[in-house]
Amino acid sequence: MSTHIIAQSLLSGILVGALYGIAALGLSLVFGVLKVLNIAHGELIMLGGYASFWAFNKAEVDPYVSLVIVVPLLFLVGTILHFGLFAHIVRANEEQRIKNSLLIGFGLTLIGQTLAIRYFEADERRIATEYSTDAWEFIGLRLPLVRASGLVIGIVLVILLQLFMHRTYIGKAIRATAEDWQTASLSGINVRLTYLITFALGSALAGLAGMLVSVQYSISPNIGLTWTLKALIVVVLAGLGSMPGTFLAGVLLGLAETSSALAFGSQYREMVGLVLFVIILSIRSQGLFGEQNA
Amino acid sequence: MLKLDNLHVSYGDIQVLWGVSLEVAENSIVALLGSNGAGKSTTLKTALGMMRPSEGKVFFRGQDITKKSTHSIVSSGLFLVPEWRGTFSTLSVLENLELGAFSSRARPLKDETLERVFTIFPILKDRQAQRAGTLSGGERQMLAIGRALMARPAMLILDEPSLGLAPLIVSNIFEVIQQINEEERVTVLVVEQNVHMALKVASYAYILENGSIVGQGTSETLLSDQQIQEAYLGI
Ligand SMILES: Nc1ncnc2c1ncn2[C@@H]1O[C@H](COP(=O)(O)OP(=O)(O)OP(=O)(O)O)[C@@H](O)[C@H]1O
Ligand SMILES: [Mg+2]
Repeated sequence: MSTHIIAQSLLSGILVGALYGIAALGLSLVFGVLKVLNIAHGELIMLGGYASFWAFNKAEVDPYVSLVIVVPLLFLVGTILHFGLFAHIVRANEEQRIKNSLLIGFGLTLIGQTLAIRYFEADERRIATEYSTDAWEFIGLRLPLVRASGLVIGIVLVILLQLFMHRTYIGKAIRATAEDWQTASLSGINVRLTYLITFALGSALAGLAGMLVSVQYSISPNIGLTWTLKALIVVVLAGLGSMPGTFLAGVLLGLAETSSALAFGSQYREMVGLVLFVIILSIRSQGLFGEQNA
Repeated sequence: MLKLDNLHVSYGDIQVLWGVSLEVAENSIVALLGSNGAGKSTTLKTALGMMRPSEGKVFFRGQDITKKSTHSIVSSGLFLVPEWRGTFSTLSVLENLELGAFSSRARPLKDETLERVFTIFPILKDRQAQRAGTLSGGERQMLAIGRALMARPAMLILDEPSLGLAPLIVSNIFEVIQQINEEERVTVLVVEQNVHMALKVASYAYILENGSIVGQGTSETLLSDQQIQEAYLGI
């Protein structure tokens, strides 16, 4: 095997992994703060993807520009979902919360898929812009433009999120609430509002991921579960509480997938994530970058 | 300043408070005494809106706050340092202090209050970048009280501030409590099992047993009442 092929596939691994990382950020945030596992996260990614797709298809809005609509739209969807559903279960104890959130998530997944088939049709769609097939070539490696954009966006996003969580009052309130909501409320923090903002932010992040999925790959009504699974593996690998850690774990998963495909053939690609999952958890139960006590 | 009126409170089917009433006058230091499981912490949680009474009312500065949410009670100037200290171990010491000043009454004064907290507890200034989870027990309690000061409360409630601390640190903490009360005119309600310490700083005290107030009086009367001392205070 030539070093060229290896380098090229590692590069693709990093790029697909960046998208896994972005897809996982919102899920990790919501799980870490609300202790609610939203398995309909992939459906929100799908919705974001379709929103960008239709904006491009009907109004010729560039997918990257469409973010100014898609991200607020998904923030709004998250707000509504939280108000209507998740806000009612965050009052329960943690075990109940996780169980109930799984049930709600499954329900939402089914509803989301059905509605998507009904209104968006079952066809696979992708956003094909003029630059979709453009690529940079250097030292014999091919770097597709839209995939590289995921890496750049991911890094910028993690930096922004990190600043938000550590430099702003609301970010600190979110971290405090994640650690101990009772003490947070005793500090004067409106815990319910914090939960609402966090959930909506998680949805908005899913919307961003959805746009990238629809330019880099393709979307269809049933992609939700696939992306939920990828995001879930990343969250477990990373552990809770670190945004850069989550993103890095996404990149690691992407690298692991492509390098195993190279070594053992692509049929094992999907399995690798799960194997990695088991290995890391048996060595470090809090994940690679998670808090010891989280 | 704070008035609890006939509070009845239960955990599920088990009732633990049976008509608790007490009053804390403005600018005073009042102690709430009682043995383990008497219902002291439950009383405080109810005052802060963390538990809802099945009967009875809570008044703060003349306002009925019985049904208010915890964060709005805190914003109105009532701050609790809970039994579990109430510091965020994954956040830095400085972030913990900043979050003490989260409410709108305290945030504009944050920098100035921070200076003051650092003069009272210089150790917190040295440790400001450190995670609160790495502090010792005594330092954690100082941080907890520092956080409370950051909130610029009109009234401060402390749940067993001496718990698990060495005698020297305990008297230091009580000095600070007295200082806050005198210099900043903060009203204080302190729950304690360290009866001597509590009665030394408090002017008035209530004794809670099995969910009811069984005795009350000025500190001098309680200290001179043989019967109460033997029955409840274990002196
Ligand atoms: N979360 C809870 N669920 C059920 N019962 C509880 C709970 N918290 C406290 N209790 C019970 O309520 C009673 C009063 O408890 P509380 O914590 O108010 O006592 P306390 O006076 O603060 O005791 P201590 O001095 O040990 O802190 C106890 O019998 C306790 O077992
Ligand atoms: Mg107690």
